[in-house]
Amino acid sequence: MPTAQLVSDADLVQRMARGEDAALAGLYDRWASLVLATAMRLTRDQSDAEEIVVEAFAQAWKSADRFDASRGSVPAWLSTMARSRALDLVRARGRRSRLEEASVATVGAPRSTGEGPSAPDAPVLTRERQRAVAEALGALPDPQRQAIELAYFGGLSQSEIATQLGEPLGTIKTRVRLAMAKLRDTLRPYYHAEPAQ
Amino acid sequence: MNAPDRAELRDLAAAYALGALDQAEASAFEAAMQADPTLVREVTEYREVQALLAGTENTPSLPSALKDRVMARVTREKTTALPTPTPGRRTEATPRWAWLSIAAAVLAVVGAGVLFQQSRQLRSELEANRQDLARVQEVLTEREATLATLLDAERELTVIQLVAAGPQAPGMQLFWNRRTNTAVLHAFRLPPAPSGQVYQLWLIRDGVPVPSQLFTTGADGSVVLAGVNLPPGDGVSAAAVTLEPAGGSAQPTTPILLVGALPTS
Repeated sequence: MPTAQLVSDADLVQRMARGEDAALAGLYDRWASLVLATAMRLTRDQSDAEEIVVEAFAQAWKSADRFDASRGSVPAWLSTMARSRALDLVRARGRRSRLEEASVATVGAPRSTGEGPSAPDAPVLTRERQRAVAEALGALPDPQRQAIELAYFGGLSQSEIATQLGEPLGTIKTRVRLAMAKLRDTLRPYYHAEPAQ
Repeated sequence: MNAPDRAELRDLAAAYALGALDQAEASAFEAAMQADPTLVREVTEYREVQALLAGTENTPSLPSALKDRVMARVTREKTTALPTPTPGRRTEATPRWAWLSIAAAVLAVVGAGVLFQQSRQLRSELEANRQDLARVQEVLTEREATLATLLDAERELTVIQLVAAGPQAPGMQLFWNRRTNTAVLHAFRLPPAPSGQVYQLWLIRDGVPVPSQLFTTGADGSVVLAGVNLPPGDGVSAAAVTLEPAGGSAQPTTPILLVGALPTS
């Protein structure tokens, strides 16, 4: 988590809804790395991912007055917007390359991109969180982890995964469900923000 | 026995949060979510998991200029009109060479403004085209799934016509692929389910209703859902539809709206 947050994320979103540029800048400083990482997981292209960051924050600005803290944390809200845009992009560009990229994408041990972030105080996740996520993924049975990799990193729908693997759709649905339930149960202490009351 | 379709909806929550549902499934899930706050909570939690998954690798490089692009983009959102260049007024004392340089500067500013405007317009058109393409792709994928369910059945396709009384009454077709036990569901002239309720498909096996797909329809009274999972068909003699509380029921709780028998072969 970034340094001690005197102003909550939700307060920043409220201020953003009132048109305060500084609140947008504050949210960007806290969560731009996460939003960029979310976009990169699918697009695997820095330039596309940066464009998605711009679009996602612009969308956040426009829809700030509709943000509902009871429906999740601000980082999850931002990350969901980025993922949705990234999915639109990769789906529009075709599936073949996505499948190839998904088979290359790996999960598990954190790896460096080779360049340090320009905002070292705002990593995507703390080391502790990275380790917890990597361990939780590593603890999944191989078929479940494969389903999550294809869905999350490959951007495939469940029926596309079933076709790709030659497995019944019901089997894939079960794997995704079980895997996500395990990840949820294991990672609950590591969510980005306290659940809204 | 628990209500299996409620569990099935909760299963969809994880895939929905990942963006891994087909369009029809996602639409049906969103309709169910409006009537069921527990589904909203499920999705909320899975979105937190989704946000954590983004960080399984280290932070990508965050260029310092990116923040400027974000702020500039939002500034453009706020100001629809571009700032107008305001050249200084010529005075009698202004020498000719100074006037020429001011004119050149004004032209440069105006030129930059025009270029900026054109670039902005092109980017906006590009984005609109991308979104259109993504929508077309989604529709195509859905059609492919529908077609695959029908064609893959080869000789093992069972079509059930579910009807209600009356000439303009609603109806439904169920194209059941007996090889994979998946189906394409097509309902028509069926008004959207009232708030807090969903339509539920039942298969009548040995006289006992077995709960199946939950769905609702669009404003035009129709829906096509591909990839509907059905149980193995042994002993199934008919299919029916009832209106049930959001989340579905283990047993029908309201009268049958539509019913159809399996064709005899």
